[in-house]
Amino acid sequence: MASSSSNLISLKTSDGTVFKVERALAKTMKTVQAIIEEADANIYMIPIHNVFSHHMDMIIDYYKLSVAGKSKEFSVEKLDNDELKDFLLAVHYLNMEDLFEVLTQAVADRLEKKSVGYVRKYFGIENDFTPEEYAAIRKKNDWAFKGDDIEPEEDEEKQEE
Amino acid sequence: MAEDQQSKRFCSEKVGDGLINNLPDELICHILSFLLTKDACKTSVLSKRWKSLYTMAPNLHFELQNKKENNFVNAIFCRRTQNIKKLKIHRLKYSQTDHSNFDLWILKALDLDVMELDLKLVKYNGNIILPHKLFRSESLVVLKLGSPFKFQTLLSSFRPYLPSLKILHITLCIVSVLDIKDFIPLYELIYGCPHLEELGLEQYIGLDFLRFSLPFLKRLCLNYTEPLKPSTGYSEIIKFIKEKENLHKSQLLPFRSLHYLWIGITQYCNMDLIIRVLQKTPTLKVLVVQEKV
Repeated sequence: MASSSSNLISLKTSDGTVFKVERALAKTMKTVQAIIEEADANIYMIPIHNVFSHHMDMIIDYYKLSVAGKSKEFSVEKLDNDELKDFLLAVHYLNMEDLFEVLTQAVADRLEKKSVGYVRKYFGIENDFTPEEYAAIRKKNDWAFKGDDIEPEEDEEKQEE
Repeated sequence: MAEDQQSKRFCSEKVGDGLINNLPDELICHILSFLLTKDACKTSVLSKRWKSLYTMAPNLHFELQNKKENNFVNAIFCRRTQNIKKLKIHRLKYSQTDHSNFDLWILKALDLDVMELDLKLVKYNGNIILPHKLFRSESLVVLKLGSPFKFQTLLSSFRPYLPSLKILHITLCIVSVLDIKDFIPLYELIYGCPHLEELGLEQYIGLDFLRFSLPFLKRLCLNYTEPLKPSTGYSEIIKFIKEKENLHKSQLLPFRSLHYLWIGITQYCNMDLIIRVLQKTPTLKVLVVQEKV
């Protein structure tokens, strides 16, 4: 279907949906671009693992906005934390520079001024410190915590500052 | 985080607990570099893996409120042995005693080949002296000086040279005619940035920027935010400006690559000057003129 001379590239997402996208958009995905260049002239369909159709929808939205010079209008506010993480991973896999920066900034914005417990939950990090180790680290970087309204760490039965 | 999420993950791939926790260090550092250093530092308590992760984030960003914070900025800099790509310091008040700290931080960053420097020290009525080394940095690509820096420290025998600099934003401090005469070091600075692509000047009034020969300049932003204080020889300044402009009328060099021009004007601005700039920007695509009251 998509030969090297056509302007559309077929991308197949993890959930089996096929998207026909413009070559220019495919070019912003360095991973895809590499696959195209390595394959023979007539590549039929490019599978993109880790990317779902709802991700592709958003990617296409972003692309359309940025082509129109309105990339600032792109918003991921409606995505919850996990959806944003998923999307970030998908874009990271596809190696799309601009969109990647936008998403990392969005993740950083969401983490700003949040408590330790919140961030742990967000990243799914397990606390592997002993209470003593934790207290030592916390004390060492105490200045970083000063001046903020930090609520006591949730899920931290181990200690309290 | 219900079973719903779990099944979603199983669809994509088996990554174990915590999707993002399995991201490579560099990706996490990238996210951390968007945060204030103070906030990034807090991640050290998350887990053993995260203990030193924040120290690898290539950007440092400080919004300093008071003197007590100097200590922890010092601590951060002491611990840094690697790459600092971007250093941003915004501070509300700067006093003479801060000077040695400030110098130290900038020098350390320069040693580590910093690429982007963004300094803003507001509400200071003296001379902020920048280390000379700053003006000979080969790694610096972006330099933003958001407070009025007097350029007296650029000696005439000292040649600034910033070969990699692409973006330069400066705020000038004009209180009297003498300040305008002091611009010579500023011209030297701009002359020492041969590959400059973007130039932003605050308080540009009286500036003979038309002397600049910047063949690669693509964007020029001239802003004027504070009116001249009438008590400090204002009419003298205007007279001086007019005289200078008549002198240099014919020496206007074209900006061959300029395609974006932003000008903030006030009633004190000389429109002739601006018109002549426009005449010498043949490749201009975007022009923004904003009036400041």
